[in-house]
Amino acid sequence: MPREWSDWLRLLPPLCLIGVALAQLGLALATSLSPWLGGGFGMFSTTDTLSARHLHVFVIRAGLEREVWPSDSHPDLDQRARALPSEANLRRLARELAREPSRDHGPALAVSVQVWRTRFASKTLLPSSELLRELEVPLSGD
Amino acid sequence: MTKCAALLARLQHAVSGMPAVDLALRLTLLDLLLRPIGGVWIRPLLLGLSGAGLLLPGRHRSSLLWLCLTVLTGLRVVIDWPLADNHAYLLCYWCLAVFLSLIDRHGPEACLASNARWLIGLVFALAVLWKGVLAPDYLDQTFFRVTLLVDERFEGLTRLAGGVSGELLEQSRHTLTQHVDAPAALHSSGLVLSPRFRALASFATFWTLTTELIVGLLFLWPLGRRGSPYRDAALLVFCATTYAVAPVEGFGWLLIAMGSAQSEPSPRLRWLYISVFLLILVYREVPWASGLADVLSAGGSIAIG
Repeated sequence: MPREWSDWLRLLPPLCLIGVALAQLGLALATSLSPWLGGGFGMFSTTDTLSARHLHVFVIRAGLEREVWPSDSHPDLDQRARALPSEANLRRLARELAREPSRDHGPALAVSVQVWRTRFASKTLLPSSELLRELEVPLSGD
Repeated sequence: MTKCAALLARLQHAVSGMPAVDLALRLTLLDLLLRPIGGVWIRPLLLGLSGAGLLLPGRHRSSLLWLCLTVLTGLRVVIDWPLADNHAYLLCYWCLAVFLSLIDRHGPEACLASNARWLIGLVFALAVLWKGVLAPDYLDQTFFRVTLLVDERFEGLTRLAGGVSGELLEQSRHTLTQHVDAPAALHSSGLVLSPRFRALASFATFWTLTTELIVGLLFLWPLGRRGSPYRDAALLVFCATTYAVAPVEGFGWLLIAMGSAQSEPSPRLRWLYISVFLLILVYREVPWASGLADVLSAGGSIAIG
């Protein structure tokens, strides 16, 4: 066992690795962080990659729901929402999309963000999508 | 001819007499140069520092250089979080380990070797934990079946060893990458996989898991402070086989640099580490699997349902 602080200091890199990996594991289990990301060394273990996830985002106005594609206008926020669909990331994306100019009349009332992932049947590899997380962000009062 | 022989003799002498720490540090700097990381600000700084560390005499042992590399590689992880790949995290931990070993009052050798063992052991243990326990689609081989068909970087291997033609590969990709936002797709019965392709996916699944398990166990096993030839052998076999097909050479070079830091002071081992480092470079530059597949013109063996 390390006795002095300098002995602990020598072990700092593996301790950092363990700390980050535990945080990654917690985020993967609690908020669906992609196992490939976040420093937990889950790469090449699952088909749940960033490219196997996609978003459906709807801007809601009075009497109208219009789908928008954030990968074109906000590629970075789109990637982060797919990688870690936490409430904070989805809210940030929703607020940015609500600010986008629109040809629709009236103010945006809410933005609904859905994160989907593709699963594959083990024998036939038949793909099917599964809703990973959904959040409707009301905009009044924001 | 004589000049060439003299040059080889000098190279042999230089490598044989090089301390493990120096080899590990130089290989890490080479990794940073050959597989640069970071965005528009961090990348040129990392390249400049790595180049200076390699070219300026003795600078590769500068603790200030490694502190700067630790900060820059750490910044890259923080700025990109959570999008940076795992190589970026390991690179940051390793630069920190080098910095701490260079300021260690007992000298860098033991500190760097101990960190190398811990880091490699933990990385492989975590990889095994994900593959063997946590991931829902690894052990049933779905991961490799899908990846071999969808990931273009594995195309050469899939055509060569899996016997899948380029045309069928394209059709499979189209089927597997579509978004079907419903509980199950009704318009297709999926893919009918040939026995040869199944065998390839099965081999890739269990070979990867087994080699990672062996490397993880050997590096975390408390064999005492001295290096173990079994550890070196397992790591070298893993790198020589995995990176022949896995398109993540930066990770492979980093593992080689770390492995060399904890190896026995044997000239033969030192040459083996250098050879596998160069072998990974050859794998990157020469698309051997695609070339062989083209020559052999593998036939198709998947049917679209």
